[in-house]
Amino acid sequence: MGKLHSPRHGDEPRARPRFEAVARAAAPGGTHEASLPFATNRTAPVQAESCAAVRETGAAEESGNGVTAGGGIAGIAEAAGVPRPGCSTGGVAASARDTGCVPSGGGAPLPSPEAPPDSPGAPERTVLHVDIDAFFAAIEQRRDPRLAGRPVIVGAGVIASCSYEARAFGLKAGMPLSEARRLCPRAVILEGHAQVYRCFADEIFARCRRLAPAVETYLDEAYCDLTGTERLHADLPAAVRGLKRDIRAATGLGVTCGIGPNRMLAKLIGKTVKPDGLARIGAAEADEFLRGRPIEQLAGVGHAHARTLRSMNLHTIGDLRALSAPVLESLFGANGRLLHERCRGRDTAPVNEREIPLSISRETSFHRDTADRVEIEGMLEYLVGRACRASRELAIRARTVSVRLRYADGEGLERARSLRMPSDADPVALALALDLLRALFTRRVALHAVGVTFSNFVPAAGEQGALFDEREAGRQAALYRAFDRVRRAYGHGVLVSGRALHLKDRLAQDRNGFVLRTPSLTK
Amino acid sequence: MRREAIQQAVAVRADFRGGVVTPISFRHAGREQRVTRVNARWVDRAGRHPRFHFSVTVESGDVCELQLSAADLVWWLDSVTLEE
Repeated sequence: MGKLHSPRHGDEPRARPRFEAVARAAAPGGTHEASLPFATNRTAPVQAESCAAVRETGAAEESGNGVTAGGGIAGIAEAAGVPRPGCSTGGVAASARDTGCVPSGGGAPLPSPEAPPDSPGAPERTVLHVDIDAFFAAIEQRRDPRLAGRPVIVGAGVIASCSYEARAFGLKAGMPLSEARRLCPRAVILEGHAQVYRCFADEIFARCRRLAPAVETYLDEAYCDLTGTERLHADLPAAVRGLKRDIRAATGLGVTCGIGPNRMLAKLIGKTVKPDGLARIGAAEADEFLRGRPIEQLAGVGHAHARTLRSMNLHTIGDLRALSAPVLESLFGANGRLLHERCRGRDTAPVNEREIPLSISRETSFHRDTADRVEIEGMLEYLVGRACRASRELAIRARTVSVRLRYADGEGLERARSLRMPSDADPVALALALDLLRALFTRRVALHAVGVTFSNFVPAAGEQGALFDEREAGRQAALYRAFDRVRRAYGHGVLVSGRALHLKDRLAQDRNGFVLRTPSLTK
Repeated sequence: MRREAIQQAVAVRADFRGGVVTPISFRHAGREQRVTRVNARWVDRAGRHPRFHFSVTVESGDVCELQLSAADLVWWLDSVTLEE
């Protein structure tokens, strides 16, 4: 996370606040897919939005005028693409200094570029959030046109993704399939395939990278840092509309885009115009926009925090402002300071092309709950192998390995331990993972799921091993590099080793490896 | 809906105009299947050579998935999705 800054003073209402929402009305009961365990977007799940009409008007769009939005969103004043008097559309930064015009519509001169983001002297950031609408389900409807217009669910055990037609029945991501079948007996349920979805996502994110110098991607969304691109994209909404058209032409998929002065606001404003929408919010509108929103929508407020806050009669983001930073810190630790800033519309988290991830996780539930140690250890070895391969491909080594498991009765346990030396080698990580598993799996209850997480990474080239370990480490490294080359060429499933061999007669395989319980989420 | 894995090499007629590959028909189980629509296409760049995937609707109304491997330029019929 970026560093925190003192509250910004002098946040006077801008003379001509600029806001633009160009969108179709949100689908009824539209719900964003819940955050997935391994999609580390660090934001709270978003509740369904009952968005009042935020409509696209063709005439207004062609003339470049802004569109008045309903639904409680602050009124729009300044037209997109229509320059303020004395400002030119090109070379905005230079002309702003000369004329006192500010791209975002404020009255202050352009601040020094050295000032930290979100501080009084900082240039206003522009962040674009791109969210793929009903990602997995939309792809399945593209692959098979007979599914168009029908309620479609992708998942195994629980809904990983569902089409907007399914959402009209109250279905949403995370819902057990048994409940989904009860609510919508006509729904088509597909297991899906993660590799297919990644191909579509890669196509979309490649187009995002043509627009922005820095793009941070997750499973079905991306943050694009457009700060400083005013000369390149004089008319940013038009550029984003072009991106949406480009993505639809290439993939057939719709995306919803939100533009804001930081990641949090960009994402939240986009949520109000899903699906296939585009909305923009300036810093001046953040206060009113956030005030009445449910507390769960604030980035960093998960279920546990939300319960705590609601028990304190704090139900909206505006309510949270009543608590001071020290109080929030005492309640939620370091996260409390972030919440103090975010409830005021300030979010300094940068957009990073993540070279080193925070963690790499691989987990699965079993097709059938099992207490068979051979199967459990085989699955753990397979998951460790996949995580190690991902680490080697990123040229990073993990210091910490954690194993988590869930018993069939719902109890979940997790334990972590650090390696003596960071490693990306399967045997090293596996030895620790098996040790953790033995410490956790002590009950005479079958397991429902098992997973492994690597964290605290270091670059692979940076660590110095002990002299006598290096020869063996070198041999192992060469062996697993060879494994990786073979798998890159012929698919991960072509090489299975060790305890994972026991899975061969229990699980189907394809080119990408074993077909796990939730193929739509399998990495 | 039931997706049946086939995973067989097939002979495919394709159009390569403008550098875009479009399957036109293919032969499977002794029958020529004419493609009436390309529903979706995607590229898997995970391996050393890209693999081009196509979801197509054939005359019978079935939806098939074809794959062209850039490594050896062999076409594969990956699956057929049958309406149940």
